[in-house]
Amino acid sequence: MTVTRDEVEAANQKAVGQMMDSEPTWIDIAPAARKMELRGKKLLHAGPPMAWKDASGPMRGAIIGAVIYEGWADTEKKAVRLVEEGEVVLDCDHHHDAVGPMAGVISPSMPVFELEDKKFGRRTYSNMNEGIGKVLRYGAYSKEVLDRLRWMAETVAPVLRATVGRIVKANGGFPLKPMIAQALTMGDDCHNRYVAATSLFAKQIAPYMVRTGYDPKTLSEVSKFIDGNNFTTLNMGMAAGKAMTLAGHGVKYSTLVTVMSRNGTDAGIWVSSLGKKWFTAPAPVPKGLWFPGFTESDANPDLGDSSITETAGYGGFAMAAAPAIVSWVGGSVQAALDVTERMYEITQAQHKHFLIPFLDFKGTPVGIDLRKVLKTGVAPTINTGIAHREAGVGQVGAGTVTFPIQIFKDAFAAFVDKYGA
Amino acid sequence: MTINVVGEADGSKGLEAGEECELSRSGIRARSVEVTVEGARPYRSLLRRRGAVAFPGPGDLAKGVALLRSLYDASPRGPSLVSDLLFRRFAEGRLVQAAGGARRLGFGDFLGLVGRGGGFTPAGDDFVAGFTSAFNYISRSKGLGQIVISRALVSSRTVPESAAIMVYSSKGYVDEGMERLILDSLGGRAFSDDLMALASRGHTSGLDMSLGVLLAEAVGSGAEDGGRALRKCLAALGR
Repeated sequence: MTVTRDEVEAANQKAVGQMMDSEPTWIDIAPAARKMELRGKKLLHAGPPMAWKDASGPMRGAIIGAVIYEGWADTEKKAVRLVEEGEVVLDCDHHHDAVGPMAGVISPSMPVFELEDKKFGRRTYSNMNEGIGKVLRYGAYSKEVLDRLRWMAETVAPVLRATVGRIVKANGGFPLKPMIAQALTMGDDCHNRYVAATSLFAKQIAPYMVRTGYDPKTLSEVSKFIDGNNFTTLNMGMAAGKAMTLAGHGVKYSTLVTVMSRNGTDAGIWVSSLGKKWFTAPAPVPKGLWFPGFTESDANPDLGDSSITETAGYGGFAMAAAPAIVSWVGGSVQAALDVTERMYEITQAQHKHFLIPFLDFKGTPVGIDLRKVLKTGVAPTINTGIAHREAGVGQVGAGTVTFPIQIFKDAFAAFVDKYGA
Repeated sequence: MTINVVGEADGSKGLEAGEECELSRSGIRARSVEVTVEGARPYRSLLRRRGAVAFPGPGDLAKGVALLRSLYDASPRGPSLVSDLLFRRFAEGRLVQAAGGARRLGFGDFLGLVGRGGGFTPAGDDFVAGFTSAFNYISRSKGLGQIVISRALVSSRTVPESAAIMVYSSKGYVDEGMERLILDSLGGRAFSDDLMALASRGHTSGLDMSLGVLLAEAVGSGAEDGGRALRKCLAALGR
């Protein structure tokens, strides 16, 4: 049996339709051990599977930090030995329906946002965002970094849990799709710019948060934390993207990409009709703007699950909605427009909910089609943060990067092997 | 590498599209200009030589054709050449006969395809260029007769650029991407990456040329498999 053109078209329409119809809704926040059944000394990380010996500097830093954070070791040396000896087990976020930006490390006691897809019923997860600069997800693991993580778990997460509990009682949860849709019309791309989204989030949860019964000082500290970090909603936006792409995953004959991710060593993708098989190639190094004192030579190859946003039809694919993003990732406003325009060439549809005002409210490009990537030679472009190549340093810039075309060739060859001839 | 464009006495410079060129000792000589190329390695077409030919298996060829067909489906213009009835009749008639040993292909068999279809270089021309480049390489290697393209005849049916590409391709002068596809596929090596590398060329030019190469190899292998590879390829194309 060989698949027909009509069968592929129908499958792709179904997959992209389900991606757009997905209704990711925030319903809880609690430790990963409880929500994701992350047991024992297991750590999740961004991107495709990876052995410790192949891990890049920032990924190593984040893993070391997480081992110390969990109390499994009290020094860097001991932490490394635990991982080297296999006592600490590594696995991909995506294998647990989770995503995390940059190193994307999730450990059992870290709080995770839990989202439920009200349309298709799946649950997805992401960790909390710490801010920018010296943070665990960029490979920093100093005391200051780990203290902040503990404060987030002990102070911020409980308040958010009580808040979302009230939201669930009132409305069934906090829907992410409307927030992303609105933020895209307010100048965010919802990958590297979440200024509007975070403001909308703060505004919308405030009436519930003030009624949680926490004391004013704690509420003030939590509010300040949310307000002080424009990336507060990035992780929820990513978990929403994971829910959307999961909805489009597993459609027989579909050539649409449902995961794009990087672990700082390799970049990898999933294809809707090819199960959870990873297609990988070495991760590229981003081009962009550098924090003072850093240059391209300091950059690690790209990492993070955050390209789930582009996979779901926003982020870099919606850069035309976010002209101000060029002050963060570099390039010109015209270049941002060009990126979005190019992505229409390789996608199945225009999003029916995510609209770009500057393009006359055209829907964002959504549903990356392997066949179109190969036919046009245009690979998906994403925007991204840039980590220092050494463990412990942190973020050194932000920019854009294009996925290696070889990944799409390998995936398409596998598709043809399975369905084509 | 430096390129030096030398003007003629009347001061004119630049190559005209489709202009006759010949390789000179220092570069390219055309009617209006001479382009000298310094520092570049001399171009040697490996398809001009005889080589060892190992036909891909029928399954591999058919898989390659299925891959191309899927990419045709994703082309903005749709599957123009492969859904063209004239092309289908040509493939299912003349090519099948040739693969089965009942017909010897000559230039006249391809004339109906010349100038056919859309694009800067019409789709039919790209197919003919791909087919004849691979077919003639196989024939040359096996000491068999080649398909000789009449420049005069094709020129009256298509644009000059395309006529020139067909003539040169049939003589074994192709670009590196095409050369790699032909040599890898006939050298017992994996060639799906070569196909995908050509896929993004033009609207469908890369696909049409690649399809020509694979069908030429399927026809060429007919003496060994009685046309099985071609039948499998056409089945993959006919979805």
